[in-house]
Amino acid sequence: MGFLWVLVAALSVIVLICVFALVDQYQSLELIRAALKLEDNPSPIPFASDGSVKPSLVGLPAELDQQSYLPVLFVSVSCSTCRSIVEGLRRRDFDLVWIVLQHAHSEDEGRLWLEGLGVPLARTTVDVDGSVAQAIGIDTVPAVIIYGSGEPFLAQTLPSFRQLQPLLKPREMAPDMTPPLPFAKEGTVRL
Amino acid sequence: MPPLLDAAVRFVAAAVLLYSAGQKLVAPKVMRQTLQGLRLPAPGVLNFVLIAVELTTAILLLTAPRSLVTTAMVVGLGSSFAGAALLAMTRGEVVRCACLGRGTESNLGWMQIALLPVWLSVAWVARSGTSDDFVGAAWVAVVAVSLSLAVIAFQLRPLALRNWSYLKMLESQWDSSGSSSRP
Repeated sequence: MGFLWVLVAALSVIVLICVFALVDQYQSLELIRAALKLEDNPSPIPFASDGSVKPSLVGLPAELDQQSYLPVLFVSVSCSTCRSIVEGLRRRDFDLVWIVLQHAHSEDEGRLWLEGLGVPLARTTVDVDGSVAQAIGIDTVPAVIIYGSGEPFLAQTLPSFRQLQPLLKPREMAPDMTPPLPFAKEGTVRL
Repeated sequence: MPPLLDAAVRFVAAAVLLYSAGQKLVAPKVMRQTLQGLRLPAPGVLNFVLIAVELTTAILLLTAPRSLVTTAMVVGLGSSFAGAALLAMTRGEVVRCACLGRGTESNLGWMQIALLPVWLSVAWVARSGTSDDFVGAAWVAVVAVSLSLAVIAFQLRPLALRNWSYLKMLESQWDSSGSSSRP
């Protein structure tokens, strides 16, 4: 019996060392990703906070001004990351977001793209001439701008769907508050 | 002395030593740099001696706490940590030490010297304790498994989830780009 406990103790210490080794491997992976700049951290996008980019003023439906929390996604028909982000959204409540589709040659092409991904057209705008994005000052896709009752309080690029996930939850935000970038911790790598 | 206090002190000290030895074992380079900074001879060999001593002391604290060897090893370890700090301070050099692994890096100094009485107390408690129900190889397993579970919960789980989330993101972008190299 005593020998068995010694064996169990030895195995337990070996397991502990293996767990440490696994932790070290994961930490090394994060360092490598950071060194190779492979993280998917979002970048802030500057926007006018003088009320000139309300949804109704940039070409989006006026009723969106009333929505207490509204992420507006800017995606393009020609970008694969945009497709993966919208595919991720299929499982989500589409009533929460508004999608602005860029770079479609025509409204029909845009609708086909959206229908192909199962997006309800009632929650989308096909921005054929790019006027919506231009009015807000967004020249990168995929990107998101978050409105609270018609007032924008955050705009940033969206390198991946997981960076959108934390933004899908409605949050309380005072209008005069400068928010920290609420990006997913998964994208943070501390060197 | 209450047996439970004796047992608790030994368990915590053994867990700290197991943690320290485990970290040094999986990333020996970090500690080797500290030993090089102290300009000690054969830092590679010294590092493995230190790991072996820490592991042995942890096991002895749980299996033979009243032994003179255990007391000597605990006192020796505490003194060597304080001595290393004293060496760095008398030379006026800043020596970084990740004594408990990556992310715990700090300068060798007063902290290690202040911990010397703690190590001496651990040695005294272990030597004079009465918790004979908590002595034996089974308690090595208990401490090692408990420490493994704590490391899994607080260190490995967040890292693994971050990595999983990152890989899922890559996978979805891979799928969307229409790569044909996937089965």
